[in-house]
Amino acid sequence: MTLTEITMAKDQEKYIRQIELPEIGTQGQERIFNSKVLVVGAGGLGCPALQYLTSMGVGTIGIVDFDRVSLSNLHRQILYSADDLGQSKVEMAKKALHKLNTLCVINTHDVLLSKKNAATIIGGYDLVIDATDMIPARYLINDTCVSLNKPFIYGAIYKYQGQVAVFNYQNGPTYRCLFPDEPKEKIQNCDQRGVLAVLPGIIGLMQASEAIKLITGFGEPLSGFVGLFDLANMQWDRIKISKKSTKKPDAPEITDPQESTKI
Amino acid sequence: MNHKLHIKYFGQIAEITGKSFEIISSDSISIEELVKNLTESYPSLRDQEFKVAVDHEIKSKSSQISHDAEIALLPPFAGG
Repeated sequence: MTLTEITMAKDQEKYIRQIELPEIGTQGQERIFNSKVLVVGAGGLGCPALQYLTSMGVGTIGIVDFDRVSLSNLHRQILYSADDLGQSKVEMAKKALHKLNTLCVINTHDVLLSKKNAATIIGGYDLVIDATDMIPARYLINDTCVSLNKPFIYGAIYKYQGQVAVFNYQNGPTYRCLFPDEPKEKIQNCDQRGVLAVLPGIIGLMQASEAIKLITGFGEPLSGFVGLFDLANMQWDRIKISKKSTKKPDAPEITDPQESTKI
Repeated sequence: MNHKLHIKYFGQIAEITGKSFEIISSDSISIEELVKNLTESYPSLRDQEFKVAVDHEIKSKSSQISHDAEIALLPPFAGG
């Protein structure tokens, strides 16, 4: 018996409601068990995505975040509690996720994703969920995923609105096909503009849904479009994006994994 | 010929225009000209990064809009 078969036998009942879906089935659940997903940012978008990906049975999850838990995080970053204040987000997230699924391998990367470590960290996973709140990190994830030929699932919010998209999937458009260059003006994030806690929950779960679609092959991934959700009026728009022939970014430097992960 | 443009503003753009939606009448016009006209009405748009979609598809500046259309002004979002 392979490890997957042992896990399957043990967890058949746990995942039975998911396996019952004909588009998922045993094969889809096995793909979920064997998948490796990296979530960059364990905040408002990352927490709900991590929670569901773990409970759905993703085999290996990486979490990148260098931040510490603060009181103003708690209303929306649902993996943390008041006991975790001041602690490392990745470690507190790991502790909470372990309770949901003890078999999930959770790798913590308590670092700021940088040009120096991005390729090493991202290289260990099948796909990336971009749950950051910083525009430069988004371009770094995009360029690294393009150079390593990995898909990534973008999510971002502004007040009551969210954007979500699957980029660099099967040679589809990338974030640079939508916004080619980093904006000169600073774009404000949740800390500056406020956020209603449920919005990152909704967008983060849309990202997790797209991840499961890429892993299992069911449905149509949101590739070639950017989805726009408006909580205030419950409107959903899908805007088509064309692939642009942008210059392939220089391959990021590969470093020793030991150096890229702060203990 | 005059036609109606239903314009949707997203994110920070909606804060600059003070509305999420408006309808304007226009002759055949390029996206570049439309953006120039909107910037005259809302000068702070000058400093903003955004893309323009026509009928749910991102179009280049030189694209011509010569029919009733749904326009969206789409800025990058940073929050997470």
